[in-house]
Amino acid sequence: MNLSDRGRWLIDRYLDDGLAPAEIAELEQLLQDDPETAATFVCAARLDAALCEDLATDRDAAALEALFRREEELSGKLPVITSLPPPLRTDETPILWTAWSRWVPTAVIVAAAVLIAVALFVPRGEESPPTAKVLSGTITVDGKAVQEVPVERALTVAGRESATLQFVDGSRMTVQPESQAILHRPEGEIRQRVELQKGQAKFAVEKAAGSFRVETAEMRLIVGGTEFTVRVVPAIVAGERRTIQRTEISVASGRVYIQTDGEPVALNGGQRRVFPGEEPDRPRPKVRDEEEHRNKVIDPRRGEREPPKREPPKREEPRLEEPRREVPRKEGGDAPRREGPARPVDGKRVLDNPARPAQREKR
Amino acid sequence: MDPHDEFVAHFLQVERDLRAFIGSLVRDWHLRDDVFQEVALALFRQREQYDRTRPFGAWARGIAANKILQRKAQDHRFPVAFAPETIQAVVDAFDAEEEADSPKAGALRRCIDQLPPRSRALIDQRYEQGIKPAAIAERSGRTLDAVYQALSRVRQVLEDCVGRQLADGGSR
Repeated sequence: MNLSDRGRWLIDRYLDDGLAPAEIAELEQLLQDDPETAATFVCAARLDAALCEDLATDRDAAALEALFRREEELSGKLPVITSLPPPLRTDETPILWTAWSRWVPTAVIVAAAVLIAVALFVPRGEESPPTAKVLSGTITVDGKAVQEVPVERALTVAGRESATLQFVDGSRMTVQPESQAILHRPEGEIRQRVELQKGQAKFAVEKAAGSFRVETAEMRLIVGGTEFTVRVVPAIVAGERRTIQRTEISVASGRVYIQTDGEPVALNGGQRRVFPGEEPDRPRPKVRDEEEHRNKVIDPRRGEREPPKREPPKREEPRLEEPRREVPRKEGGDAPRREGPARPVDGKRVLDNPARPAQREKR
Repeated sequence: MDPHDEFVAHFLQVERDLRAFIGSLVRDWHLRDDVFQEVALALFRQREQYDRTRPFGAWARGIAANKILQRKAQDHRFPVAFAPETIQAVVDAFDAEEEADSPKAGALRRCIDQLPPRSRALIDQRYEQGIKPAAIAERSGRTLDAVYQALSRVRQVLEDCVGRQLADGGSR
């Protein structure tokens, strides 16, 4: 075994918490003396961290489920207009109205003049505050290239290169050429709402207070912090001479919740789904216990989990899928806690800091 | 650019690598998150002192290394195996390899998906479920040494695969 092989062996064992104190001392000496070992250590540490970040998305599950439930509750609180008030019958028209009606045209003209004056003198920036900055590429609004994208205006990507926007919360959206989207005003707990009308956009959403929403004609997607791509594509209906619009979601990391006409759907990192239609793919088959194979349904109103009903799958109403392995939770609703590899110090295993709360706010 | 925005932009660029650096020294998976948050706060508070002629990542790692040493000095049980000289060597190595080899999420995901089921199950147990090698060995009926070797091999395969993906432009 040459020096670098020994170095690699020590690094791997170190990452798996398997070094004796004497071997740690040996690794330390190598890291200080041998740049090649140090470079290998950096490489291995980066991969180790990336694996932790990418695979351990279940850590965020509880927080996102709570977020999703809050969204539902918020939606439930909004007043629903079920019917318009009945129109006045002609025979019930108040007498006073007849007297005032001749002044109405004048009043309308005066009000219109006031509105025009206000519109002319109020700066446009206040009317449409920017919600995102253009980091790269060319974004046009109303045919003009902009550096800051105003809300409620359709943006398009000019040229053949994609454009990247950064939102106020640090999240980023990379929009492909020939795409079109609208950035809507934040509302209540929704910190950012993006409507993708055409094309494709990749999102890297930062974790922050409130939710980040992406909407297309087919679905509404709610996330906390994650990376995913949304693509709006025309699709030919088999056997018919017509096309429909579909939305394709690919999740790189984290978890997203999707609302459609059917039941809500949760997608994890590595999964892809098309709305409407198309069966979910399962790119990450895992060895699991039979019980863990069962899909779980989240009832957003009650926050409960229950097995899915055994009904024939409907192509247009995809069932919610929850393919990730769920580590049993502790009583009291604690988030799944992983056995992190406590490392040895002086030959003893170190327990978690007892002062650390069992469940912390993540980032 | 507004100083606050500039800081946020820098921080987002180095966040992943900063986590890797802290994780390379603090091997407890929960404590490393605590340290990361502490370091993030320290960076924000000291953002005025950042020398723009230096790489932001190097500055952030310097502060992170100091925080880790402080924690170790305050609590001798704090799980850092390395002496200050070794930590400095690791800092230097990260500076020298500035994000060049940082695995891109998309490339790593594709490589993970290509793993054989047995390797995939192993890496899931270790990283997704956070199970220690000794417990994996016990569950699978393999020896501890076999589990260590298997984990090492899988990581090597992933490292090579990510390198190939990035070289082929597969991270896009």
